[in-house]
Amino acid sequence: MRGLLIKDFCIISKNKKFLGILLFISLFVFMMPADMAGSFIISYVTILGGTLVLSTISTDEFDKSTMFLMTLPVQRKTYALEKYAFSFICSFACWGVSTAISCIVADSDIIEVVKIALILLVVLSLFQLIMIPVQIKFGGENGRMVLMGMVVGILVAGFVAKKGLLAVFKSEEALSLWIQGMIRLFDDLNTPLLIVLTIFAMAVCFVISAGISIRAMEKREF
Amino acid sequence: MLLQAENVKKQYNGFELNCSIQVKEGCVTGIIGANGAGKSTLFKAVLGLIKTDGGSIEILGKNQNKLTVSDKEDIGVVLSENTFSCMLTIKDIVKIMKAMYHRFNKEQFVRKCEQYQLPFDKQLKEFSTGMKAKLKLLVAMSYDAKLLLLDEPTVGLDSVIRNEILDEMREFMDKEGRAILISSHISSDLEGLCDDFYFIQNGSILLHEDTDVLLSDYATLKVSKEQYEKMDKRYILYCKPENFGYQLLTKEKQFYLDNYRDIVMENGNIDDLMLLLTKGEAV
Repeated sequence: MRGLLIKDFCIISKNKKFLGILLFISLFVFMMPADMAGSFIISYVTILGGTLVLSTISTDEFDKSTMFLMTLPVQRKTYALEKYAFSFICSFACWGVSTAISCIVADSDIIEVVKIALILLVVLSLFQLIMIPVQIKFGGENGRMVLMGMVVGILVAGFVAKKGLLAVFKSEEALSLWIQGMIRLFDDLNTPLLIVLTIFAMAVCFVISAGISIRAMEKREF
Repeated sequence: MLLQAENVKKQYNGFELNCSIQVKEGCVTGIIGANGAGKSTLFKAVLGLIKTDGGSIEILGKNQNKLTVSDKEDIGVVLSENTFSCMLTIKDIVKIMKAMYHRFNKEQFVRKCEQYQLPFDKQLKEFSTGMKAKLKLLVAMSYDAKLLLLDEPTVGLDSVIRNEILDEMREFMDKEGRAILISSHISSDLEGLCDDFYFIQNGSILLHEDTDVLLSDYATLKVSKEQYEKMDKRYILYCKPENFGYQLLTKEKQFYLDNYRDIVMENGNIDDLMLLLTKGEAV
């Protein structure tokens, strides 16, 4: 796996567009109002870190080098897992740095910034756990189409769910009260329990996502 | 035996691979066939890059499906169209190879790259076809592999670079216990390198022969229609109609030398043989 990680780091170090965007953001952030800068840096930079792994999968596909990599001392399973490891390293590094910068530049309470940062980390990690198997299974171009299909699917599912819940609760007010109640339920949970539950949920998502990616790689023909 | 493939089958739309090959220790085995004959499909099957529909493949004495990561360190591969990402440089490749192969010989690899004037800081996308071909082979030979699987390593190269690459392969074979399986549609490349040949067409092996036998016993005969009607055809393998009559392939050169002195005969060379095998009809 070390060889694959080195390969991916070498590839992103050549990605001038990414390095340019990073520089641009750093300049942009210093011109932003302090209250906006915090969450913006964290979300943008972490997304950027996360997309790096997707860009390395696309590069492997574009060069048709995935096939060559499979002739090296690399198991298909390792190729899939390496993408998660690379994603974890990049996302976490970008998230850590951006959170640190946010804490420095933000006017608001540092604990609030860290809370927002943690929520963003969970959301963006979920995005990665969805995108990596999609990208491995369908490749760059098709992967984007599948993602668009998923977004449309989620919107449709949301719409249908809302209609269904409205049918159950009879009115918008009753539904709104139920949703507020659910949010309060989460608010009432103590923080350590919430963290444990989140970590557990993320671990389950990782196992499912990695399982799909490994299976896709193992079934793949070149 | 370093490689043994028995009745390997793979079916695509309109194409079926069904062949057996062996690569013995100390031997360079060539696979010759026209474009689309099934050479790359056979390589992909041997390397486990595609799932076969039947047959068995053993590499280094092990079932191909059971090869471990350390077994793969004994196999060097050159694919005709694929290598490392074109974003990478040779400097990057050195780092990657060092992390992947326990026996990666950095000094030798760097020396060879310098010898062939391959730039260390340029991305592969800036390399010419010849530079890429040399690099692919140098990478495959940089970690003391026992078996080299080379799919069209000389495709698209001029004769000077082709010869340099063939010399590298000869040097690789100086060490005992090694073997090479190499494919090409340029048969003359392989004539001076291979110990035996497989001729492949439409996914099937038409002929397997040792190079020595091929050059000593095989011949192409050029005969008129009248000569063809009268001659003994027991030892004619393939026949191709020509303007002057027929071009024939025989494995019993001496028989026709002794009995048909008026027949025009040319010693076996792989280009003619390939032409007759692919364009001629079995007799």
